[in-house]
Amino acid sequence: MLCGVPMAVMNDILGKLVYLTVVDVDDAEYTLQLRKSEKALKTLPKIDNTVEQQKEWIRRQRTIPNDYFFKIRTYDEQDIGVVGFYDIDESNMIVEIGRYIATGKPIENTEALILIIDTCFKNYNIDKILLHVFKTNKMYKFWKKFGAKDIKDVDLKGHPTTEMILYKEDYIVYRDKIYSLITNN
Amino acid sequence: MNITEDIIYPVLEKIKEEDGLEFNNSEDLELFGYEDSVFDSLSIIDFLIEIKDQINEVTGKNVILVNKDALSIKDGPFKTVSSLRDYINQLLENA
Repeated sequence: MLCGVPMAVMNDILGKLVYLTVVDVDDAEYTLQLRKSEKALKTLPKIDNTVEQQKEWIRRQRTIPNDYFFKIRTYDEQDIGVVGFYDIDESNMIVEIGRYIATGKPIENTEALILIIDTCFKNYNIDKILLHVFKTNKMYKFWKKFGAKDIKDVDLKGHPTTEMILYKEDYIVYRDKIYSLITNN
Repeated sequence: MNITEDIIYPVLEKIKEEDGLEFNNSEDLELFGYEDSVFDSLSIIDFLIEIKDQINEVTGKNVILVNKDALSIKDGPFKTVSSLRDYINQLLENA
Protein backbone atom coordinates (compact mmCIF):
# COMPACT_ATOMS: atom_id res chain seq x y z
CA MET A 1 0.00 0.00 0.00
CA LEU A 2 1.23 3.49 -0.81
CA CYS A 3 -1.04 5.22 1.67
CA GLY A 4 0.91 7.86 3.54
CA VAL A 5 4.06 7.51 1.44
CA PRO A 6 5.53 10.99 0.85
CA MET A 7 5.29 11.87 -2.82
CA ALA A 8 9.02 12.50 -3.11
CA VAL A 9 9.82 8.82 -2.60
CA MET A 10 7.23 7.36 -4.95
CA ASN A 11 8.78 5.30 -7.72
CA ASP A 12 8.17 6.00 -11.37
CA ILE A 13 5.03 4.33 -12.72
CA LEU A 14 5.97 2.44 -15.85
CA GLY A 15 3.74 1.83 -18.84
CA LYS A 16 4.37 0.39 -22.25
CA LEU A 17 4.66 3.70 -24.08
CA VAL A 18 5.00 6.28 -21.32
CA TYR A 19 5.91 6.52 -17.65
CA LEU A 20 4.90 8.83 -14.83
CA THR A 21 7.50 10.48 -12.63
CA VAL A 22 6.85 12.76 -9.68
CA VAL A 23 7.02 16.49 -10.37
CA ASP A 24 9.97 18.22 -8.73
CA VAL A 25 10.61 21.92 -8.08
CA ASP A 26 12.89 21.88 -11.14
CA ASP A 27 9.77 21.21 -13.21
CA ALA A 28 8.16 24.50 -12.18
CA GLU A 29 8.77 26.26 -15.49
CA TYR A 30 7.58 23.34 -17.60
CA THR A 31 4.47 22.68 -15.53
CA LEU A 32 3.59 26.37 -15.40
CA GLN A 33 3.98 26.80 -19.15
CA LEU A 34 1.77 23.78 -19.65
CA ARG A 35 -0.76 25.00 -17.08
CA LYS A 36 -1.07 28.36 -18.83
CA SER A 37 -1.34 26.85 -22.30
CA GLU A 38 -4.46 27.16 -24.42
CA LYS A 39 -4.95 23.42 -24.14
CA ALA A 40 -5.00 23.56 -20.34
CA LEU A 41 -7.57 26.35 -20.28
CA LYS A 42 -10.05 23.98 -21.89
CA THR A 43 -9.85 21.64 -18.93
CA LEU A 44 -8.65 23.61 -15.88
CA PRO A 45 -9.35 27.02 -14.33
CA LYS A 46 -6.96 29.85 -15.28
CA ILE A 47 -4.03 30.60 -12.98
CA ASP A 48 -1.67 33.60 -12.88
CA ASN A 49 1.28 32.07 -11.03
CA THR A 50 4.84 33.23 -11.61
CA VAL A 51 7.60 30.63 -11.85
CA GLU A 52 8.54 31.36 -8.24
CA GLN A 53 4.95 30.88 -7.13
CA GLN A 54 4.79 27.65 -9.08
CA LYS A 55 7.95 26.45 -7.35
CA GLU A 56 6.37 27.24 -4.01
CA TRP A 57 3.16 25.46 -5.01
CA ILE A 58 5.16 22.36 -5.95
CA ARG A 59 7.17 22.49 -2.70
CA ARG A 60 3.93 22.64 -0.71
CA GLN A 61 2.18 20.04 -2.83
CA ARG A 62 5.02 17.56 -2.27
CA THR A 63 4.47 17.71 1.48
CA ILE A 64 0.73 16.99 1.36
CA PRO A 65 0.08 13.35 2.32
CA ASN A 66 -1.57 11.32 -0.43
CA ASP A 67 -1.37 14.12 -2.98
CA TYR A 68 0.53 13.01 -6.08
CA PHE A 69 1.48 15.05 -9.12
CA PHE A 70 3.34 13.46 -12.02
CA LYS A 71 4.97 14.39 -15.28
CA ILE A 72 4.07 12.16 -18.21
CA ARG A 73 7.21 11.17 -20.10
CA THR A 74 7.98 9.06 -23.13
CA TYR A 75 10.86 6.60 -22.99
CA ASP A 76 12.92 8.90 -25.20
CA GLU A 77 12.64 11.40 -22.33
CA GLN A 78 10.13 13.83 -23.81
CA ASP A 79 7.80 15.53 -21.34
CA ILE A 80 4.28 15.22 -22.73
CA GLY A 81 2.10 16.41 -19.88
CA VAL A 82 1.06 16.13 -16.27
CA VAL A 83 -1.55 14.29 -14.23
CA GLY A 84 -2.27 13.80 -10.55
CA PHE A 85 -4.41 12.17 -7.91
CA TYR A 86 -5.36 13.52 -4.50
CA ASP A 87 -8.01 13.67 -1.79
CA ILE A 88 -7.82 9.95 -1.14
CA ASP A 89 -10.72 8.95 1.07
CA GLU A 90 -10.45 5.28 1.92
CA SER A 91 -13.44 5.40 4.27
CA ASN A 92 -15.61 6.23 1.25
CA MET A 93 -13.30 4.27 -1.08
CA ILE A 94 -12.80 7.21 -3.46
CA VAL A 95 -9.94 9.31 -4.88
CA GLU A 96 -9.97 12.29 -7.24
CA ILE A 97 -7.94 12.32 -10.46
CA GLY A 98 -7.16 15.61 -12.16
CA ARG A 99 -4.53 18.19 -13.17
CA TYR A 100 -4.49 16.30 -16.47
CA ILE A 101 -2.89 18.06 -19.42
CA ALA A 102 -1.46 15.87 -22.16
CA THR A 103 0.28 16.90 -25.36
CA GLY A 104 1.52 13.54 -26.61
CA LYS A 105 0.09 11.20 -29.18
CA PRO A 106 -3.46 10.00 -28.44
CA ILE A 107 -2.49 6.53 -27.29
CA GLU A 108 0.31 7.93 -25.09
CA ASN A 109 -2.05 10.41 -23.47
CA THR A 110 -4.57 7.66 -22.87
CA GLU A 111 -2.00 5.27 -21.41
CA ALA A 112 -1.01 7.97 -18.90
CA LEU A 113 -4.59 8.03 -17.64
CA ILE A 114 -4.66 4.26 -17.40
CA LEU A 115 -1.41 4.25 -15.43
CA ILE A 116 -2.70 6.70 -12.88
CA ILE A 117 -6.09 5.04 -12.48
CA ASP A 118 -4.47 1.60 -12.16
CA THR A 119 -2.12 3.00 -9.52
CA CYS A 120 -5.04 4.27 -7.49
CA PHE A 121 -7.02 1.02 -7.68
CA LYS A 122 -3.96 -1.14 -7.05
CA ASN A 123 -2.53 0.72 -4.09
CA TYR A 124 -5.51 2.05 -2.17
CA ASN A 125 -8.64 0.58 -0.74
CA ILE A 126 -10.90 2.39 -3.18
CA ASP A 127 -13.40 1.32 -5.80
CA LYS A 128 -14.21 4.58 -7.55
CA ILE A 129 -12.62 7.68 -9.04
CA LEU A 130 -14.00 11.20 -8.70
CA LEU A 131 -13.69 13.48 -11.74
CA HIS A 132 -14.57 17.11 -12.37
CA VAL A 133 -14.94 17.82 -16.08
CA PHE A 134 -15.80 21.14 -17.74
CA LYS A 135 -19.05 20.81 -19.64
CA THR A 136 -17.37 22.23 -22.74
CA ASN A 137 -14.48 19.78 -22.56
CA LYS A 138 -14.21 16.88 -25.01
CA MET A 139 -12.89 14.80 -22.10
CA TYR A 140 -16.48 14.52 -20.89
CA LYS A 141 -17.38 12.22 -23.76
CA PHE A 142 -14.10 10.36 -23.35
CA TRP A 143 -14.77 9.65 -19.68
CA LYS A 144 -18.24 8.46 -20.62
CA LYS A 145 -16.63 5.88 -22.91
CA PHE A 146 -14.58 4.77 -19.92
CA GLY A 147 -17.87 4.22 -18.10
CA ALA A 148 -17.93 7.30 -15.87
CA LYS A 149 -21.35 8.39 -14.65
CA ASP A 150 -22.67 11.91 -14.08
CA ILE A 151 -23.27 12.76 -10.44
CA LYS A 152 -24.16 16.45 -10.41
CA ASP A 153 -23.45 19.83 -11.96
CA VAL A 154 -21.11 22.10 -10.02
CA ASP A 155 -19.41 25.45 -10.55
CA LEU A 156 -15.61 25.27 -10.63
CA LYS A 157 -14.23 28.81 -10.38
CA GLY A 158 -16.85 30.10 -12.79
CA HIS A 159 -16.81 27.11 -15.13
CA PRO A 160 -19.94 24.95 -15.48
CA THR A 161 -18.61 21.53 -14.56
CA THR A 162 -19.90 17.97 -14.29
CA GLU A 163 -18.93 15.88 -11.30
CA MET A 164 -18.51 12.28 -12.44
CA ILE A 165 -17.75 8.94 -10.82
CA LEU A 166 -15.86 6.11 -12.49
CA TYR A 167 -16.44 2.74 -10.82
CA LYS A 168 -13.69 0.14 -10.94
CA GLU A 169 -15.83 -2.56 -12.55
CA ASP A 170 -16.87 -0.22 -15.40
CA TYR A 171 -13.33 1.04 -15.90
CA ILE A 172 -11.70 -2.38 -16.22
CA VAL A 173 -13.71 -3.25 -19.34
CA TYR A 174 -12.65 -0.20 -21.36
CA ARG A 175 -9.13 -0.23 -19.93
CA ASP A 176 -8.53 -3.71 -21.28
CA LYS A 177 -9.84 -2.69 -24.68
CA ILE A 178 -7.42 0.23 -24.82
CA TYR A 179 -4.48 -1.93 -23.83
CA SER A 180 -5.48 -4.45 -26.47
CA LEU A 181 -4.58 -1.81 -29.06
CA ILE A 182 -0.94 -1.90 -28.03
CA THR A 183 -0.42 -5.36 -26.58
CA ASN A 184 -1.70 -8.89 -26.88
CA ASN A 185 -1.57 -9.33 -23.09
CA MET B 1 -12.84 -10.23 -47.81
CA ASN B 2 -12.88 -6.53 -48.60
CA ILE B 3 -11.21 -4.58 -45.78
CA THR B 4 -12.97 -1.32 -46.53
CA GLU B 5 -16.45 -2.81 -46.92
CA ASP B 6 -16.22 -5.50 -44.26
CA ILE B 7 -14.15 -3.82 -41.56
CA ILE B 8 -13.88 -0.04 -41.86
CA TYR B 9 -17.30 0.99 -43.18
CA PRO B 10 -19.33 -1.08 -40.68
CA VAL B 11 -17.41 0.58 -37.82
CA LEU B 12 -17.93 4.03 -39.30
CA GLU B 13 -21.65 3.30 -39.69
CA LYS B 14 -21.87 2.17 -36.06
CA ILE B 15 -20.10 5.31 -34.83
CA LYS B 16 -22.27 7.53 -37.02
CA GLU B 17 -25.35 6.04 -35.45
CA GLU B 18 -24.08 6.02 -31.86
CA ASP B 19 -22.52 9.48 -31.86
CA GLY B 20 -24.88 11.21 -34.28
CA LEU B 21 -22.08 12.11 -36.69
CA GLU B 22 -22.69 13.01 -40.31
CA PHE B 23 -20.24 12.13 -43.07
CA ASN B 24 -20.18 10.10 -46.26
CA ASN B 25 -18.10 6.96 -46.38
CA SER B 26 -15.41 7.07 -49.04
CA GLU B 27 -11.82 5.96 -49.58
CA ASP B 28 -10.69 9.60 -49.21
CA LEU B 29 -12.61 10.28 -46.00
CA GLU B 30 -10.26 12.09 -43.62
CA LEU B 31 -10.33 10.15 -40.39
CA PHE B 32 -7.63 11.79 -38.31
CA GLY B 33 -5.00 14.52 -38.41
CA TYR B 34 -6.83 17.05 -40.61
CA GLU B 35 -8.69 20.13 -39.49
CA ASP B 36 -12.08 18.63 -40.28
CA SER B 37 -11.25 15.01 -39.59
CA VAL B 38 -13.99 12.68 -38.38
CA PHE B 39 -12.00 11.91 -35.20
CA ASP B 40 -9.99 14.03 -32.77
CA SER B 41 -7.22 12.94 -30.43
CA LEU B 42 -9.73 11.47 -27.98
CA SER B 43 -12.36 9.91 -30.22
CA ILE B 44 -9.72 8.21 -32.40
CA ILE B 45 -9.04 5.83 -29.52
CA ASP B 46 -12.60 4.55 -29.44
CA PHE B 47 -12.61 4.22 -33.22
CA LEU B 48 -9.44 2.11 -33.12
CA ILE B 49 -10.91 -0.12 -30.42
CA GLU B 50 -13.93 -0.73 -32.64
CA ILE B 51 -11.72 -1.39 -35.67
CA LYS B 52 -9.67 -3.92 -33.72
CA ASP B 53 -12.84 -5.73 -32.58
CA GLN B 54 -14.17 -5.76 -36.13
CA ILE B 55 -10.91 -7.18 -37.52
CA ASN B 56 -11.13 -9.94 -34.94
CA GLU B 57 -14.77 -10.64 -35.73
CA VAL B 58 -14.29 -10.75 -39.49
CA THR B 59 -10.91 -12.51 -39.70
CA GLY B 60 -10.53 -14.24 -36.35
CA LYS B 61 -7.12 -12.56 -36.06
CA ASN B 62 -5.93 -10.56 -33.06
CA VAL B 63 -3.70 -7.77 -34.32
CA ILE B 64 -1.81 -5.09 -32.41
CA LEU B 65 -3.23 -2.03 -34.10
CA VAL B 66 -1.06 0.67 -32.52
CA ASN B 67 2.60 -0.32 -32.49
CA LYS B 68 5.57 2.00 -32.24
CA ASP B 69 5.70 2.53 -36.01
CA ALA B 70 2.04 3.54 -36.13
CA LEU B 71 2.27 5.94 -33.23
CA SER B 72 2.71 9.04 -35.34
CA ILE B 73 -0.96 9.03 -35.97
CA LYS B 74 -1.04 12.42 -37.68
CA ASP B 75 1.41 11.26 -40.32
CA GLY B 76 0.59 7.62 -39.97
CA PRO B 77 -1.87 5.06 -41.19
CA PHE B 78 -5.01 6.49 -39.63
CA LYS B 79 -5.31 9.58 -41.82
CA THR B 80 -7.83 8.31 -44.33
CA VAL B 81 -9.94 5.27 -45.05
CA SER B 82 -7.56 4.19 -47.80
CA SER B 83 -4.43 4.53 -45.64
CA LEU B 84 -6.13 2.59 -42.85
CA ARG B 85 -7.19 -0.10 -45.35
CA ASP B 86 -3.59 -0.50 -46.54
CA TYR B 87 -2.34 -0.64 -42.96
CA ILE B 88 -4.87 -3.30 -41.92
CA ASN B 89 -3.99 -5.28 -45.02
CA GLN B 90 -0.32 -5.17 -44.05
CA LEU B 91 -1.10 -6.20 -40.45
CA LEU B 92 -3.20 -9.13 -41.59
CA GLU B 93 -0.52 -10.32 -44.02
CA ASN B 94 1.96 -10.41 -41.15
CA ALA B 95 -0.43 -11.83 -38.55
